[in-house]
Amino acid sequence: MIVAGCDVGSLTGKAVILKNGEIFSYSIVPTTPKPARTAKNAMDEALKKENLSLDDIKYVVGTGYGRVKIPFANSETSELTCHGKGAHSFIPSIRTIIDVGGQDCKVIKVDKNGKILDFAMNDKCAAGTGRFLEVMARTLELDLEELGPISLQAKNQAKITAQCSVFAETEVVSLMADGVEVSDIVAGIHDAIASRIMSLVYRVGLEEDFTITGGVAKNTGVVAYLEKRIGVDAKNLPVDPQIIGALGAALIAQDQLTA
Amino acid sequence: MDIEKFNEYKKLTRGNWGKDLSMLKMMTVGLLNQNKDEELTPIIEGLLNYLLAIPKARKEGKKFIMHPFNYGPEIFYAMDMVPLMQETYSVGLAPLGLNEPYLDLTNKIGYGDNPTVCNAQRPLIGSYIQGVAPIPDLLFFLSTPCNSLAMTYQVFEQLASIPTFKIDVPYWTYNKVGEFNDNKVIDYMVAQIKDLISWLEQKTDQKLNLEKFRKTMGKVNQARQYILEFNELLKTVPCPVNSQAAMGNFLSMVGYGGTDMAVNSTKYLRDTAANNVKEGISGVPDEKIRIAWPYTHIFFDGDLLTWIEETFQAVVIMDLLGFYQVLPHDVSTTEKCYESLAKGTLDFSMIGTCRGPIEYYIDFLLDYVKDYKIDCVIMPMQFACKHAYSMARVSSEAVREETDVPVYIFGCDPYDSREVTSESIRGGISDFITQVVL
Repeated sequence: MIVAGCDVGSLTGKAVILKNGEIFSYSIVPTTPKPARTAKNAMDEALKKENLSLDDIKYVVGTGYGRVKIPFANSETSELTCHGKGAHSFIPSIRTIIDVGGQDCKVIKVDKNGKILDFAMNDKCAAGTGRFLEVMARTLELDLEELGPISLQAKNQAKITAQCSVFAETEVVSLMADGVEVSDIVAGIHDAIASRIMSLVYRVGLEEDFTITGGVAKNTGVVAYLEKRIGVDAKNLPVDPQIIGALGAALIAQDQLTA
Repeated sequence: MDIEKFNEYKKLTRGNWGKDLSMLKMMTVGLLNQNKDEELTPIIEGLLNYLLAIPKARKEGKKFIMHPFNYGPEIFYAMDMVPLMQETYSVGLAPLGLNEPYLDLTNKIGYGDNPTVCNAQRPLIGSYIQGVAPIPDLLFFLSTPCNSLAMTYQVFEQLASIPTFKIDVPYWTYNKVGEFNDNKVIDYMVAQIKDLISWLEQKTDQKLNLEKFRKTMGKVNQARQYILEFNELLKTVPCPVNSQAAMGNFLSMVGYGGTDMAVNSTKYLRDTAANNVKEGISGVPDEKIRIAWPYTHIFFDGDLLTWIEETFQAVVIMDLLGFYQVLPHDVSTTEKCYESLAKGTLDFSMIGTCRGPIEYYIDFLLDYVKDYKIDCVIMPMQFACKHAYSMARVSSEAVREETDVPVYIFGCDPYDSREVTSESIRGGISDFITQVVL
């Protein structure tokens, strides 16, 4: 049985194909202005990797902000459910999921069955999201992927006080002008993100075990600074944390067929 | 609406109101047309008369005073003035998508930027710049619920050189047994109310007619009594009225408290609720979920509550403004009337919950959740409303811990659809209700 989940996010589109309950293929593609095209690009890439066609997929569940515009989805569901389902499927002891996406951040509390108990979202401000990191990487003339490792080299972490990405950018420029070490600035940026995420964590309360999903979970700096603030290490997922939403959608697709 | 009545009101809206009243005219005509095929309830009739009173005041040379959304205008009516709630603009224009251009104009002159200062007040600055809002003869405001309001009123004052009076709402001590246990607070407020009256007498060149004052306060009391009964009726399961109904009480008291219109409107709502309880009629068919909404409506999305009702069979029992909880007071003497005004000021919607210790707000919310059999709490939090944001977190924790009722907090700007869209708000609410509540 082959099913799929497709997650159309604000910065990337993701597709996961499951074959007999196991991840068979997946893709991560940049978002286009049209959610339908993003979904198609993501699904085409995942299909192509295993020489499949859309006809081979028995059921597709869409999720993400563009979920209602995925033309080939049989049904759609919220990303909260998908992240809960996806993370819980790997680590059943997970009770809190921190999903840090391109333009939003969510903290999701689940019970022992993966059912959502509570959640909090930051749905407007870019601070504490992937977009914030993108802006900062551009300002510092670094690649996005470099940020995490560089932040861990900091010796004297700079203080970024602004919560807003626009003001933080100005602050970073000032720090650069003052000759502050890049690694110290990057560390400050990561800690500022962690601080922002913590305000959501406080809202729902953190229950262990916890894990981090979404594209920003791949940034070792954000993870480290968040773990430091929480005081507990996050549980590592055995797959790319950016595909957890799509994976959860695929698992729901599987449930739909086997129900 | 009866066609003759409709034509009667239509006639009153005709003619040139002047450029500065153009938006007010648009709101009046809009309200009339929107209700053409509906029953002309005392609420709608009250609102129409309220808006029509402004051009009428101009013709009759009556003094026109502007005040914020958290003050009952009874003293102004008692002194034969014509009041206008300033936020009539931001609330009335939001669903038409017309706040945004005036907010942009306000930004251009450098007064705040979204969302640092509350947009309940800021659109009027842009409207003044464009000359499409009337400059009142007098201006009145209070120090509560927030600094943002107090700051913006000072901008109005300076922008249009309007004589202004401000009341300082004091911080208070609180214990659950005696809400008004601090007589110093009442005395302080009464003194300020008397100063206000003296100021009004000076500005209008007329003395307060004490007989009229007492009659006005009697009408306020009557309306408060109806609202008290209405609020009790909301405890019934299923709720006898829909999610919008309670707002009618707030509009009555903030728009025309102290008049027969307010008595009629509040009586109408009380009677409707009582009759529906008796007949077993619910405001939302097959009610499944009862929601507490301890903040304002999302004014730019006028259909949001109806959408919640239709999508989830859920009824919003209370919003922070609609849950007007000023009690009737002794008004047997003139001095008692001053006291009643003072107490009404202290406990007016949003003032009562925002003027003092967080414990008062928490107790208010906890009692509400328990007494009104609330299934979930949805807290919209306006980005610029800093103190409400902090209250939300603390109070939501208390609700979760003490009642086990789920709480959803979301950020937004109820006056500007560009900050967080209707689609995003509905998505979050949908997730909350389907994933957490059900």
